[in-house]
Amino acid sequence: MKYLKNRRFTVVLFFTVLLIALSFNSCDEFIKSKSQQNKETEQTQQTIATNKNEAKLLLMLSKDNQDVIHLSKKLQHVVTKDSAVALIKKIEETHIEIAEAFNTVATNKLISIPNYSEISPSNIVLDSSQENKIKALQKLKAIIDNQLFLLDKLSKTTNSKTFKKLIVKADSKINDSLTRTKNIINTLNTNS
Amino acid sequence: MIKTLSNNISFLRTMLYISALVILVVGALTYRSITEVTKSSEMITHTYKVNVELEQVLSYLKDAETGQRGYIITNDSIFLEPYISGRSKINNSFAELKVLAKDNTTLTNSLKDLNLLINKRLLAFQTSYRSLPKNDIDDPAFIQNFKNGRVLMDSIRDQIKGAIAIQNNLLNQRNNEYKSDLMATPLLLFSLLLCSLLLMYAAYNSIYKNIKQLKATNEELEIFKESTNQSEIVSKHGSWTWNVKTNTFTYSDNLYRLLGEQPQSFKPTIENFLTYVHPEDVEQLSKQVEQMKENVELPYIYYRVVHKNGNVKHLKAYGKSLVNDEDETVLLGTTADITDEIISFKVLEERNAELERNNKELSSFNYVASHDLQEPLRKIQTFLSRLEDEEVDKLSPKGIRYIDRIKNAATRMRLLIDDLLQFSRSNKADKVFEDSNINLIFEAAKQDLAEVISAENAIITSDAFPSMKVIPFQIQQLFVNLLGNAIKYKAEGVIPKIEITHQVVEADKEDGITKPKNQFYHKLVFTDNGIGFDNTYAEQIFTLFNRLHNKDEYSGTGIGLSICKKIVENHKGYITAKGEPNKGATFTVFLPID
Amino acid sequence: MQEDYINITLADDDEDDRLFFTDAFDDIKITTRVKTFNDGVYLMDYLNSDDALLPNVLFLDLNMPRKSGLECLKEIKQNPKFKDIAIAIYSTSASEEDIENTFIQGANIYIKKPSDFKTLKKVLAEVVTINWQYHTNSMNKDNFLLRF
Repeated sequence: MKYLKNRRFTVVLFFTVLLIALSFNSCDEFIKSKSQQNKETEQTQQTIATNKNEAKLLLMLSKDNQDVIHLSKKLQHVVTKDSAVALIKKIEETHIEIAEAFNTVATNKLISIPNYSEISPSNIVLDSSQENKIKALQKLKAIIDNQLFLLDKLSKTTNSKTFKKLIVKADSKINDSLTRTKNIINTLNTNS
Repeated sequence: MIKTLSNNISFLRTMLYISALVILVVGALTYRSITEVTKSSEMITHTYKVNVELEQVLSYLKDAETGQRGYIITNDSIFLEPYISGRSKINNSFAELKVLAKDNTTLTNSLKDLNLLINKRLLAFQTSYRSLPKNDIDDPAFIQNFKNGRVLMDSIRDQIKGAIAIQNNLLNQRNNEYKSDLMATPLLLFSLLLCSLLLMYAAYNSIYKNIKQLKATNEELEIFKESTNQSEIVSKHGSWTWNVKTNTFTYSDNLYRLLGEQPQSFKPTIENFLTYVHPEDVEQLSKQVEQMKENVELPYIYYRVVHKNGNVKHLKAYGKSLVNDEDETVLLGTTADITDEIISFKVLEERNAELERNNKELSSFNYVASHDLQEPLRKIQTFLSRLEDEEVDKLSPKGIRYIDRIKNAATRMRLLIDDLLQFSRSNKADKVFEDSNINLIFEAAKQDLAEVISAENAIITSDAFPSMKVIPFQIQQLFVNLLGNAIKYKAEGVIPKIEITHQVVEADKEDGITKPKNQFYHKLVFTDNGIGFDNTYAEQIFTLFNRLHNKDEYSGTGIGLSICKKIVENHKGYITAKGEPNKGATFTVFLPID
Repeated sequence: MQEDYINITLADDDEDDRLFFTDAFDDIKITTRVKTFNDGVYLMDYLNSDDALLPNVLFLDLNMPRKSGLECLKEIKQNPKFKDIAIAIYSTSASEEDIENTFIQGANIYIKKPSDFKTLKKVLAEVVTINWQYHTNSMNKDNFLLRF
């Protein structure tokens, strides 16, 4: 108390305390904001990369999807066996569903996906020859396999709930398609 | 002046606080301003990025369009490259835009619409070159498709333009918001800084003035201190202060010298001081020091100190207490070395005693001598007169002459002895002043001279005298002597006339009065028509045994006027004489009026 | 004057003065009987004795050994036996103090010893012929001291 009575001392004390508080605060502020800024930028960059990745994968997935739809449509015309046709039809339907699902997510996520296939007719020769049919089916299988592969990749890279839901949905469906395709190939193989 | 100085100190402190506050405010404002500038620039960057991405999207579409057109024209699939890679490029841009538009719902919605349009366009692209019948660009379906495509492209362009415009508007808005702030803030900051600078300057000025003043005062104090030290040395003083609460003393340099020590040679405490005090005075001094603590003032105290070399000095001390700024009682004291005075006083006392003794001895000697001398003289005179009476006829003329001469000598001796007796009696020592009727005294004096007066037929006229406080018999003697002289020194063949006047006069107006002690005096003037005297002897005649004539001309002992002077001096008065040869003499007597 | 002579007594330690005194009275044409004493003790012894012939006028010197004139005066004035004696102080000195003291103690007259025989005779004659009762009543300090 005796010292506080001394005015000079209180003034000095006041200023010292003020100075210390200020410097602490400002340093703190600066450090926090800097780190925050860095974190933010990092995060943004991360988000953008994720977004780009998701877009790329979804695009590839929907491209494949559209190819599958196109192929299955085409195959329905050439395959004779009814069971096979039914299966292929099923595949087509499934994948149309998937395409729809893809569409919803794409619209939501501002990703542009094609809703047409870009397979040039020259690529796939579809006639009634068994060989070509099987080739086509193999192609189909390959594409579906690719889809699964892509889905797997997507599931590893995405954090979005929407995508995760989609992946779950698509995965089961595409697996069914794969099984069906395998079946169709077997059927055709045994048939000939 | 201390008051104004402390006011200045609070003023300075206030200034300091205000300046600190101002600077803090300035700092805060600056910080805010900078963060806002940063935000503003960030916003600009953000808008810029959005705009760039949107333009990029448009550019990708245009590339795809151009590529498509190229393919249609050349049928070279290489032109389709931008179209093929277009979608993924657009998606990448959208990925960026999505993040940029995170907080902006308008933009997000705008982007959603844009996405749909882009899908439609890309589909249109696909339709156009897919459904294109080979080498037929005139197909109406194809042309329709192209037209559709153009429409879509326009809508996309509009959409993008719209989005960009919105962004820019937003930016402008925000900029406008900040602009006023941003303009005002620097001005405010600047003015605050100026204020702060002015305050600091004012404070500096104030401090400078104060310091100069303090310096000047300090210098004065130093000089004053020096002169005090000097004056202490010269007047043999020492001073001390005693802070009762903290029980600390300060002794001035000269106080140490009063104790016979070098300045500041020992710690100033009461115990150390008491070691120098005379053992007989220590107790009383300690008691008085205790008293000093309670009383406001210390009456003079006297004590002795003994120096290391054995000298004893007498000191006189005085103390007074006052209360200082911090509510502490401080005693200020002065001690003076009065040894010299005491010694002088003692010496004086001794001398006085000696003188008095001498005086007494002389007086009694004077008296006794003259008294005892009277006896044998009287005998001589009486026997002489007996001789004259009884045996005159048995003596020879020579014998008679001798007896005559003896008689004369004896008479002279008698006169001398009488006058000496008078002189010794005129010592004031134990005589009492009383209010006396001067007229009566004058009459008595005339009675004493009755014989001579009648013998010479002297005429004496006088004023009426008031009563005065005198030693009656001495005044009577004075009158007798003066009157006697006037008659004795009468002019040959002239009847002596003596006039005595009385006045009350003011001391300043009279030449005869030197160094008067009173303002008013009685002035008695004795004028006669006798032989007078040369005025050059006016002062001489009052000296003892001084005569202007020899004993054959006029009898006399030369003591009479000295007796008059002594009497007048006893009464603290003055006597002067003025003479004119052969005309007369005037004697003036001044007696003080209380 | 009840008797045919006046009884005079002198107390004085000086032989010459006693001689002058008695010689003077011898010359004075008044019938007197003079007695002298050498000092105060002799005087008082005589006065106090039963067969003392009290004087009409007593002349008292002041400076005497053994007993001074003032002491004698005091003693005499205290004793009612001596109330009819007229006391004249007869002294060399005429100091204020002596005059005052003797006046206060009740002396009748104060005489300063003259230095001339003729004057002495005159004074003594005057003193012894004073009608003392008359004189004492109107006495004050001014006429206490005999002027001559």
